[in-house]
Amino acid sequence: MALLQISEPGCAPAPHQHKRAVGIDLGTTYSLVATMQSGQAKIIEDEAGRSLLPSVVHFGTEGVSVGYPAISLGQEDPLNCIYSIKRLMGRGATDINRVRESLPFKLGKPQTDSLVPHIATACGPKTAVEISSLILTRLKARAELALAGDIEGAVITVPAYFDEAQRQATKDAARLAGIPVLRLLSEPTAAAIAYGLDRREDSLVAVFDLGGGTFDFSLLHLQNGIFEVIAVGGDAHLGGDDFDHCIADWILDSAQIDDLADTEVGNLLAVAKRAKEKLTHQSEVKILWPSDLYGEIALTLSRQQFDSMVRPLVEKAVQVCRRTLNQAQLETDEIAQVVLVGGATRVPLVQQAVADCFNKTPLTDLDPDTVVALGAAIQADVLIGNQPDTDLLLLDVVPLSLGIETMGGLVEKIIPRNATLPIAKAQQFTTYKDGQTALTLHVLQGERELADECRSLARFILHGIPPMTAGAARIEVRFELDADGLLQVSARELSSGVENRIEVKPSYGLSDVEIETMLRESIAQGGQDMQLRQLRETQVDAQRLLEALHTAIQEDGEQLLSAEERLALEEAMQDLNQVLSGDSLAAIKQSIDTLENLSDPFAARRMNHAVSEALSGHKLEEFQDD
Amino acid sequence: MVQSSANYFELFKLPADFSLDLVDLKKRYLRLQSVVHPDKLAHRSELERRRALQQATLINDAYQTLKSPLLRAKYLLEFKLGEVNWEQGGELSMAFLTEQIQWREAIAAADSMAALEDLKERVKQQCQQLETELAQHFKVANIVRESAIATINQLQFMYKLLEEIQLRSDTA
Repeated sequence: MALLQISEPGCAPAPHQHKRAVGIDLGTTYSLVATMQSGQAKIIEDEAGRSLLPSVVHFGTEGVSVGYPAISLGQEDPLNCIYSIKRLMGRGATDINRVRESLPFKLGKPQTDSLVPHIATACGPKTAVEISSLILTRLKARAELALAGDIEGAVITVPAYFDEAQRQATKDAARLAGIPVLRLLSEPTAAAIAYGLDRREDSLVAVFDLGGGTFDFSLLHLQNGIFEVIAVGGDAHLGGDDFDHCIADWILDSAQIDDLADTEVGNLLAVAKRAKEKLTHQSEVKILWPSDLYGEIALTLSRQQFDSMVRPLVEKAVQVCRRTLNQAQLETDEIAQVVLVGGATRVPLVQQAVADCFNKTPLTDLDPDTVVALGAAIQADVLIGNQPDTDLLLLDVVPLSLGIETMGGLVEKIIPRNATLPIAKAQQFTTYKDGQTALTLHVLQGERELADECRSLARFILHGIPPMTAGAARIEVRFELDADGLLQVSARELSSGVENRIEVKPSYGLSDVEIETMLRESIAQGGQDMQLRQLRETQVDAQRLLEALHTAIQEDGEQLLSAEERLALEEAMQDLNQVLSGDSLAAIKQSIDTLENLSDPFAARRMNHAVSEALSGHKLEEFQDD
Repeated sequence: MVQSSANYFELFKLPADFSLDLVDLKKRYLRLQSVVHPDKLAHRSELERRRALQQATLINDAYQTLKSPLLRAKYLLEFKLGEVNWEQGGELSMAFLTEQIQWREAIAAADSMAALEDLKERVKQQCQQLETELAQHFKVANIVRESAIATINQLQFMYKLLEEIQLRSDTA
């Protein structure tokens, strides 16, 4: 039959048009952005040809600077210069005290109306999410200049060991920066992708990722383009920065300085860092610290001395490897390949320790600073649809168990660590007292048995339980984790037949209102209009929906739609196409809703069809031959 | 929806039997995930991605169930006989319970990784024996409910021991 054409110039781009996608490595000390260019992942450099953007933000009375200029300004004004903000991502005001000592900047007085720590700056109190979004904004601008257009999708890497709250914070920072996130990707997995290890035969690979502030260890099973994460381990507070602190402490010790002035911390750490870097290639290094307060301090540090200072830290990382292997029930000799990632793996002692632990020379061919961003760029290109024929697929795991606090402050685990994502699990709980009509649910993440020792993600109350004797109510708590490892929790009362369902997205403390305010501010600062931005975003969503349906009808319309259904769909598509170019946000949203509802049965049929096709006939035989 | 009501065996296009080839199961699992995983549809509409998420979640659950002999046995018994009350029936013998106490004492007393490894091997052997028994239970046309439940309950106890050994060696 003759069909209506729905395309209109400029509204539905050709399906195979190349889209602008980037991979972003938002690191503790450096951040990078990369993209695919003529089939190769490439780092996007700044105007001066530099790959790395120091993850440093300076808040001056004159304005905000990011990267190298921030470092220069920070030398005169260290208290307004924020380093290593990643360490505070997803951290609440209460769990910050643990890391307070090692922070190179001052935390502001806690704001009474927020659970999130604010850092005092010349531009007012700032949260980690806001500061990270400034770094992301800079990377985005760099990419948009190089690619000559808006970024249509980004993959942002996070340490595999990042918990729920840290992941959510990263996503929020991207949202503030106006970056559409395709996926959060584990840094070690990104590195394995960049190395192209999936092209090898069925093998087990270990990735040892020691960055500036975090340590990650991942075990991956690779087979025909599929990256399956088997287990992850790590330490969210172990990295190359700690090596710098060791050297700094040693300098202070040797120079007999007991109480270091705040203004000197940044300079001392920079001196320590340079010494560490030199010791990668030299057996000893002359340290010269031209301190304003303490005069010029000159010392000599040998690699041997350095090794003995950092050995306990390296040993800690190796222990994590052993434990993770043990959990996965694997022996070191089953690992075919070990990949080193992160600047701190340049330290010879680290390389030696890894080689000794696995009894093989680790892979170091790619620059450990850029490898993660390159892998993210490859994944972003695949996810945005630029490579429709690729086999690449990642099956990631949840790094830490998730559960609920029960009586006596114990934790009942609902989703175990290392479970493959996405996952959903439900468990039943009951009331403790007669006539109890509400139940407080405390969502926790971690491996310890006591709630106090796990990370608190959220608390919420289920109201409206019909009064019953203790233990009679049946409350089902359901945890759902998506492919990014982001959690939704819902609870309902089963026994009475009364369904009382609530859903919460755990938050690390930043309320929706706070996010909204920040979003408004950042948009206002960029000289944009909130409404205009919403309209643009909705138009992009609408176009994506139209494009997706157009392709779907071309592929399966003949087989899976009746003539009437097809006609109805195409009419709704045309309706959406008509309101799309107008400026009524409500009308576009309404048309999107209508079209989505109408196309839902078709989407379901396509999914079922794909599933049953996957394991039938010649496809299965082909597959069995692999 | 056809798929969400389909049973796990049908989903993987496998016969509903206790014995299965784990290598083949994994191949089928990866094949299915490479069709339904939300990442494969990242550029599609929100709706399609939601469907994909549900489907991928179901397939993960099905794979985890079929992969584990204990979960597979429980799933298969309920599939064949309808809902089973695992607390009723399948009483464990005094001899088995005494043995459990002895295992637990041995785990508590193990003072080295080697000792724990050795215990793990021995518990695994017992598990394998129970799994062979289970395969027999499911082979006959009329499954003897009581004895199947008893064997599954025993296997559950043995799995708990393995978990405990793992916990000990984690903290060792």
